[in-house]
Amino acid sequence: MIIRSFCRRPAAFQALAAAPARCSAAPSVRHIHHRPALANEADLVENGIPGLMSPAQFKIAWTDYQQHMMDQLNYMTAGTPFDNQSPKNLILEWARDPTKAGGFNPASMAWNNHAFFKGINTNPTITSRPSEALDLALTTNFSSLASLRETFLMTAESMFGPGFVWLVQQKENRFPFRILTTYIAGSPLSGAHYRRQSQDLNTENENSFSGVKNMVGSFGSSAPANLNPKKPLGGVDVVPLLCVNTWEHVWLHDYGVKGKSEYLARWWDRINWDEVAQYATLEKTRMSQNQFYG
Amino acid sequence: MIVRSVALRHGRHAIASNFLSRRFLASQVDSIEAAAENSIKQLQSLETQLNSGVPIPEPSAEPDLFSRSSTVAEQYQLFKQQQKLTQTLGSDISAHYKPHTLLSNPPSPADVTLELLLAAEAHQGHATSLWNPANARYIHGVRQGIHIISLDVTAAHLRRASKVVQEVSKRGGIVLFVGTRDGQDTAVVRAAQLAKGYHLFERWIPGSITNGQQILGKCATKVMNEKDEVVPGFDEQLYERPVLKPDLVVCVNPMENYVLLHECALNNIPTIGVIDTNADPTWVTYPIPANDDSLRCIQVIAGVLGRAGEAGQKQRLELAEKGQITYRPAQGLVAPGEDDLTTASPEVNQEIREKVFHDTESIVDADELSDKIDADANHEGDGRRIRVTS
Repeated sequence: MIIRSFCRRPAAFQALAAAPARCSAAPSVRHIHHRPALANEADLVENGIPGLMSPAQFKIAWTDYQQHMMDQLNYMTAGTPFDNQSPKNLILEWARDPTKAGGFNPASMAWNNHAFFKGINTNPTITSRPSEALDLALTTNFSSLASLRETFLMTAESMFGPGFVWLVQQKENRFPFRILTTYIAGSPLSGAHYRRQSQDLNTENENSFSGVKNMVGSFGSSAPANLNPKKPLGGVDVVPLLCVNTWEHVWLHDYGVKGKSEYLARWWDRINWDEVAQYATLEKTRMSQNQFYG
Repeated sequence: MIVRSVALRHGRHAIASNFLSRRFLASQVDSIEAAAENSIKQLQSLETQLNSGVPIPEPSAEPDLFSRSSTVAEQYQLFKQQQKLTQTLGSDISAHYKPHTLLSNPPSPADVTLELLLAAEAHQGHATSLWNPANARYIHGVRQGIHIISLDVTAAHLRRASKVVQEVSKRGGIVLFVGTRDGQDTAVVRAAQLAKGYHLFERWIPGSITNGQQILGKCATKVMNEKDEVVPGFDEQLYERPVLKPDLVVCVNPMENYVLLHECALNNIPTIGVIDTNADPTWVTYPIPANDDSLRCIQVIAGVLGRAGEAGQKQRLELAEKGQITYRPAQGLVAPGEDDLTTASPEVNQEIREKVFHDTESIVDADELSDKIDADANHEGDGRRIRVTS
C-alpha cells in the first residue's frame, strides 16, 4: 500500500513516465479529464486577454497550466474508483486525507483556475459593471465598491506566496459577502474546509487555531439555546462568487516580479460582474438590469 | 475580520517600508507616498466606521433572503442551483459508462445498437460442450471455448419482442416481468413500472396460473375505465369474478422458470424469454438470444422492453382521450347503483330465464322461482363460488 501511494505522487510522475518497470502498479493513463473550453478560446489563444494578459502569458496561465493539471488528474485517477469523477467531487472526497494531497492539489487548482478564467470579461469592447442589485448588496457589505476594491486588492497584495483571493457569499443575516483567501491550492468550498488554507500559519499564532474548545455548559437542559442556524444541505453555506489567481506564473511573464499590484489593478477592471451575479443570491430590487457601457 | 487583520499585518508595514524609505525621484515618490497614505487613511476610516457602528444604508423594506431559516426544500433548491454552476468547473470529462443510467434512464428499442449489446456482454454464451443445438441458428461462432451469439440476430429478436410488448400494452393487456436471479429485481421492477405491468423477482409459486383461483383468489382486483381511472362500486361483483391471468409474460431467466413457462403454454399465454446458448428456445414463444448471466445485459433487455411497454401505454391512453378503446371491455359487469335483475339488460334477463327453465323440472312456488332466479343471477360461469342472496 505504501509503495502504491508513493507511486501515485505527482513528483514521481516524471520519473515513472521514464521508467515504468519500477512500479508494479503503474497504470496506463486513459485521458478522462480534458481541458475545459473557455468562451471564445480561439480568440484568447491568438490575442490573449486584452488589457490583462498577452498571448504568451495566457498560454502559460491557462493552456499549459490547465493541461498540466489535467495530466496530473488523469495520472492520479486512472484505474481507480475515482476514475470518472469531476474535479469538484475529487476535492470534496480528498480534502480530509493528507495522504491524498497528490490528487487534491491538481483537482483544486484545476477548479480554482477555471473559476478564475471564467470570471474574466474577455470582450475588449465591453466594460462590465455590477448590476443594481449586486451593487446594492456589495455597498451594504463593504460601504462602497471602491472600498471593496481597495480591501480586495490589498489583501491579494499582502498575501505572500501563491494563492487565490475569493469574494464569497455566506448564509448570514446581515453581511453575507466576505473576502476569503486561500493559500497555494486551498479550496473555498465548505465541504473541503480541511484544506481551505485561508491563513499563512507561518505568521499566525498556531494556538489560535487549535480545535480544542472548552465545551463546559454548552449542552444539557441549562445550556443556552444554540442560536446558530443549522447548516444547510449540501454545504451551500459558502458560495464562491469571484476570484483572482495570485500564483506568480499567471502574471510573471507580462508584469515581472514587481508587477503584482499592476496585475491586480488591471484584473479588477476585467471582472465579469454578470458571472458574479449569477452565482450570488441577491434581493430583488425594482430595477435589476445589467448595466453595460460600451 | 480576516481581511483587515491580514492587510494590517502585511499591508501597512509593507507599504510604509517600501515607499517611505526610498527617495530617489522626488515627484514620483511623493505621489506614490501620498497614494499609500491615502490607502492607509481609507483603511483606517473604514475600520473606525465599522467599529463605531455607524448606520449603514438598509437595502429595502423587503426581508433579507437569509433572515428567516430557509426550509429544506429551499435549501435543496439552492444546492441544486449551485451544483449546476460549480459541478462542471475544472475539467471536461469524456463520455463514459454510468451503470445507474441503465435503470434510471433505460434505452428504448430505437437506441438498440450492436455496440450497446456488445458493451453489455450480450454476445457471451456458455462453454461449447453445454450448448443446446436448437440454438445453432443464433450462434456466430466459437472463441476461447465459448459460443458467441450473433448480435444482429439478438437485435432483431429484441426488436420483435419489444413490438409484441408494445402492442400488448397498447391493447390494455397484463404484462408480467419475471426475473428471479440475484440482482435482476431492480431491472424487472423498473421495466414493470415503465410498462405499467407487474413484476416478480421471488420464486414463482407453481400453480399460480393453472390453480390460480386457489393461490391468487384472495388478491384484490379493481375496475378501471379506459383512462385508467379507478371506478368504485364494483366490490361485490369483483368478489365473484374469476382470478386474472397475464396476457404476456417476459422472463429474463427462463432456465430457472420452467414451471412458469409451462403453465403459460398450457393457458395459451405468449412468453418472451432471454435464451442463452444452453437454454431451450422452445420454452418461450419469442426467444431473445442473449447472455442471461450478465446483469448489464439483462438491464438493457428489460429496459428496452419496459420502454416498449411505456410507448404502448402512451398510445393506448392517447386513443382513450379521443374516445377510442383499444380493447374489449370486461363482460358481465353491471354498473353500480342499478338493481341486479330489474334494470339489467334484456339479453341478460333472457339468458337467466332460459337457464331457469332448462334447469328446473317443476316450479312449485313463486318464492322458490324467485330463489332460483336469484341463484342464477349470482351464478357466474363455471367453477365459481355461488352466493345465494336471501
